[in-house]
Amino acid sequence: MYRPNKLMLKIIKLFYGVEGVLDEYKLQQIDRIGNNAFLILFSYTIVSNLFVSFVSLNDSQMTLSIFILVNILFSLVVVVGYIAIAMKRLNLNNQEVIAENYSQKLNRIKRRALRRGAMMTIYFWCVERFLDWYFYHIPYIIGILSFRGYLKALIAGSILGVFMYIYWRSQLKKISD
Amino acid sequence: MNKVKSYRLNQGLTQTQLAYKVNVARQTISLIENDKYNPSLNLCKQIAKVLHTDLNSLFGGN
Repeated sequence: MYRPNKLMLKIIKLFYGVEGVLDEYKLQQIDRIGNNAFLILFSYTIVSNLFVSFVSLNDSQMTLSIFILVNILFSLVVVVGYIAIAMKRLNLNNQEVIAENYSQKLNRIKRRALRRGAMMTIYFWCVERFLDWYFYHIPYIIGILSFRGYLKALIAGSILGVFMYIYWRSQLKKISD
Repeated sequence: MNKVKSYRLNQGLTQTQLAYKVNVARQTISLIENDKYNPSLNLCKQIAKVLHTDLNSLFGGN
């Protein structure tokens, strides 16, 4: 059976949220789910591009804005939604933990969620400073002194951290052995 | 019906232990034992090796 290289395996695990061993059964199912997701996305691309090419004759700027928004929504809601449901249904991202290791695993998840939240806080802050500078010509130094900027980044990071903790915790499954 | 479960129990292994030895998830062993997944030849060979038997006894008919 075809087995992707180590880097590809890491990307697949990260993208599909697979914890633990990525064995041949999981790879086979992920191949199938990914293939279906591609078919959905490809069909959407063909239809939407055709539709937009006709509609854009009247108001191209407005059409472009709506097209970008719909594309993002479609990818996030339909494609990611399909992948998440399919993965959940087959229990592919379940993580089985022995009862005595459960609290240890829970602590590890807390630390991981905290790290992810901190990364999001930094990322959000940097992106917001860049967007302020790019669109509104606000110098970086003003952004550094803005308390609101820090607060917004902290809120975004906290939301992601809490969400990731809940998500990872929902994947944990306690087993007796 | 394959005989993975009976050979595994004969060896005194749990599904988790067997899964660890052949580097797959416990869920995969469970699916193989219940004939819900056809493993690759390579995995069959690994399982047979761990359970100290041959492919024919493990996955052959009868």
